[in-house]
Amino acid sequence: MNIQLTLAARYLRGRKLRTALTTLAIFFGVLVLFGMNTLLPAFTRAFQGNILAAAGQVDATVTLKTGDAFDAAVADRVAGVEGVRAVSRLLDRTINLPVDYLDNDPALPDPATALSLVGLDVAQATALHAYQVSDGRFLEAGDTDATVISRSLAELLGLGVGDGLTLPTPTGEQTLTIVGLLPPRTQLGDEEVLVTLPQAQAMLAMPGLINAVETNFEPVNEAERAAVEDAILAELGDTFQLGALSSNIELLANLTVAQGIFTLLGVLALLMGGFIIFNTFRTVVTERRRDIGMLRTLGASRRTILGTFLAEGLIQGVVGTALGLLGGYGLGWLGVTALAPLMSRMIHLDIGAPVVSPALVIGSVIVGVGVRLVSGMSSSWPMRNTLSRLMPLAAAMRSAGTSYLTAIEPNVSPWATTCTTCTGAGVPGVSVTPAVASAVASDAAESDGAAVSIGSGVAVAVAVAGGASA
Amino acid sequence: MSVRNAILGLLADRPRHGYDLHAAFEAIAGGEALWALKPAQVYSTLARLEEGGLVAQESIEQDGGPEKHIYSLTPAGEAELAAWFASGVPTEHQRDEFFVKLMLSLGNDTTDPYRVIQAQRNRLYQELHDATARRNRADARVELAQIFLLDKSIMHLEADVRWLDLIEARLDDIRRQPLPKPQPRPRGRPRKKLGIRN
Amino acid sequence: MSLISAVNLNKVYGSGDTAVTALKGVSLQVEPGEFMAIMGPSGCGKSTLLHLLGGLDRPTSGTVMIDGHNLSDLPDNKLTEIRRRRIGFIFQFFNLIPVLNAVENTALPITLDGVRPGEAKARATEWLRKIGLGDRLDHRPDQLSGGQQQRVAVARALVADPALILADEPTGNLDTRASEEIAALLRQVANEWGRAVVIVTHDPRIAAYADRIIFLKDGAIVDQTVLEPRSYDNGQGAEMVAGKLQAMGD
Repeated sequence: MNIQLTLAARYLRGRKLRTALTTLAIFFGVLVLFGMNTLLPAFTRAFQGNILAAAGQVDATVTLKTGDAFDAAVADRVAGVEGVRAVSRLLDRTINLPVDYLDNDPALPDPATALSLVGLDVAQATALHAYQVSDGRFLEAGDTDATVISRSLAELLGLGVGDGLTLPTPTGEQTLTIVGLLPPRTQLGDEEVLVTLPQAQAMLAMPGLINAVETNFEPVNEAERAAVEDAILAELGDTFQLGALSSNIELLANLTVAQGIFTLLGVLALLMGGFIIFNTFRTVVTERRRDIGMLRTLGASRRTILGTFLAEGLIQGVVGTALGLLGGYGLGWLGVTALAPLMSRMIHLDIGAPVVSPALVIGSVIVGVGVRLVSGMSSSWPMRNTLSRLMPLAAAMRSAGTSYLTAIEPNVSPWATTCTTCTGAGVPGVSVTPAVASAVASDAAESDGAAVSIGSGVAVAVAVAGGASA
Repeated sequence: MSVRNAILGLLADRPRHGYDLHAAFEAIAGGEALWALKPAQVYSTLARLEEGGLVAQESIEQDGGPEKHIYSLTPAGEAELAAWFASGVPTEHQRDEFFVKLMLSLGNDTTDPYRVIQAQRNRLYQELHDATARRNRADARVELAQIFLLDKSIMHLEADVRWLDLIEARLDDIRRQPLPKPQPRPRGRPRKKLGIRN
Repeated sequence: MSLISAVNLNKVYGSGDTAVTALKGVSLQVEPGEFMAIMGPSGCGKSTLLHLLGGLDRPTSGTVMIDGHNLSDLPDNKLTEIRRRRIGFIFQFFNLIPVLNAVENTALPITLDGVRPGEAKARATEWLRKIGLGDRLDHRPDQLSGGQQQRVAVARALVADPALILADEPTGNLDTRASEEIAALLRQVANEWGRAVVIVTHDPRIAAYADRIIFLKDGAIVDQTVLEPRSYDNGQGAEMVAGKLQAMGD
């Protein structure tokens, strides 16, 4: 291995700029891949944490697919389904506030442009959620014109327990008395104004109607819970849907897509880097033919020659990936630091440090190094027919007086390259959309590297499968 | 080749007698092996030079021995020598025995001209081998001049080998052409010219 | 038994209409310590012959025996091993790896054979000193003249202690003086250090250093010249004489 490392190091040193650029390509690819995959999960984790906290014991929320209101009796039907332990009926509506409605001051920015009016069945709701009242008390069943708001909203409005809160409604302006304060809101979305269900129905002129049923299941294991969900849907019909939580679902979905896009960018960056390396390496291989021919004549085995290229690829891949990992973490940290103040101000979200999963690190390393090795090795693929057999060597040397034009390249198995790429790409945490898969595969097919295209296509397909199931 | 010019040159170095001239000539021409000169030739050349006024002779008494004649250059001799130095020496066109042999073999049915060429080539290589060995053995510190002379032989031999390759490659073409034949002489007595014997 | 024994070698490239016969029924023997030159016009098959002798190519028919091994019987990796250990190669151009220095280049055959780096370097250095490049051990090829590069190539060919040295136009790229140096060196390799040396050349002056010259034409041997050494032994120089006197006195 010594001679291979020596040769590898010397060749790399002999072309400092080229080596630097190749390593840089790997560095950037890994940087984006790794960095984005630490930054976004940090956000996601924070959101999920908050959402879960707010969700309490709600296993599923029943709503109409159209989002319209429906009869309150539906809640009883849900309660009757085998496996449902408890339900809670809700009517919630977004109330848009006119400009300067709350502070009456055109000079100052509005504290809020919309509020969410939530009508609860108090008994049912308190069974499913643990409301921690910090001032005053929670709502009671017979309350009229009473409301509980969060501390953060109270501070925004400059109100306290006992003060009145006036809201525009379809039935005209209504003033509610604040009877209690909840802890500051940490979720995304509008601030909530909690009232009793009858109160909401009256204010919104929607008697007897609700638009969501929160449910809690009895069984604990996944399969049985899924069965309960199916039973509910069977009972209610396909106009209804079961989902996690309300407005936050969309956001979570957006974040997942964003993560997917950034991962895609990272993968594309790496693939681009890969193709650049591929092309660069073809020049290298042509330049090195003489040296390789000479080494073979002197008695170097195919493995030795292969080892030299492998060593070169490894050195560059490892250095580039290591730097990329460091840089990626730095990028993630920078992102978190820059965005955290913004986030906590806007949505009271405490993001914390970038998320580094061991799988991500290993995956990035494998991808980073793998891309380098694959693209390097694949560049010799088109010349595999004039491989390390002796006969072509002699034939080339026969052309007296000219340079030895045979490529003495190792015959690298296409399966080796495919497996490397697959392993690297199909790692949990890296999800690639199907659209990418086809785009990449067709792009790869355009170049000469047949092995690269096959490998990439298969790899990306595996990655999609891996990402989808994760 | 002009022995006389060499003698003039040797006398320019210092006046010498015949025996001295003979030895000196052989030494400078590269040794007896390369150029064996008969002493008689030296004396006859000296006589002719004296006749032509290029060389002068003086006799010196020797105790108990015959008179030795010392020769020296006259001014005319010096001028002749200077002219020789100033002009180029005509190249030797040797009689090429091999060329004749090859031409004859072309017409001869029992001989393969290629074999003739090969035999010559073998000989040339042997000579080249010997010349190279001698040259490499020589001590460059004291025998530099001889080394250069051997280099000359080597280069000539190399040229001969290359010429042989050339001939060999074109032998078929040469064969197809008729052998050089003597030109027919015009018949009849040639006109008598005054003062020239037929 | 001869070191090299080639029997009835034939080499045909291509097939059918485009078949080219490079060698026809070539047989030869080379003994240890012999310096043989192969000459002939362009395209006569001399390089092909050399490649067959060196195991770089396989004959269409006929056998090549090197040091008792029949090359046609050997699989690729065994052949590679023989090339590493029993045969040294010198080519016309591009002999050296540009990123390695003189010692490393010289040591290549044994390094590739698994000899430890320290020992490999020591042996390489010894050979380089023997051929007079002791002051250029760490020079890279681009810091050496053409003649010096070829001398490194000779050292490299010798480092594994092979029985046979094969050289394909080793002086083709050199000026006269460097050429003669290499030729003299190869003669020393054969006569003094006892290897068989076979060179392909088109330069008569270089061929003149050999003991035997084979002439090829159109793929067949047409002639052979054995060069007799004339007696060198008289008058070989002051040191020689002194040595003899010394020997007589002991």
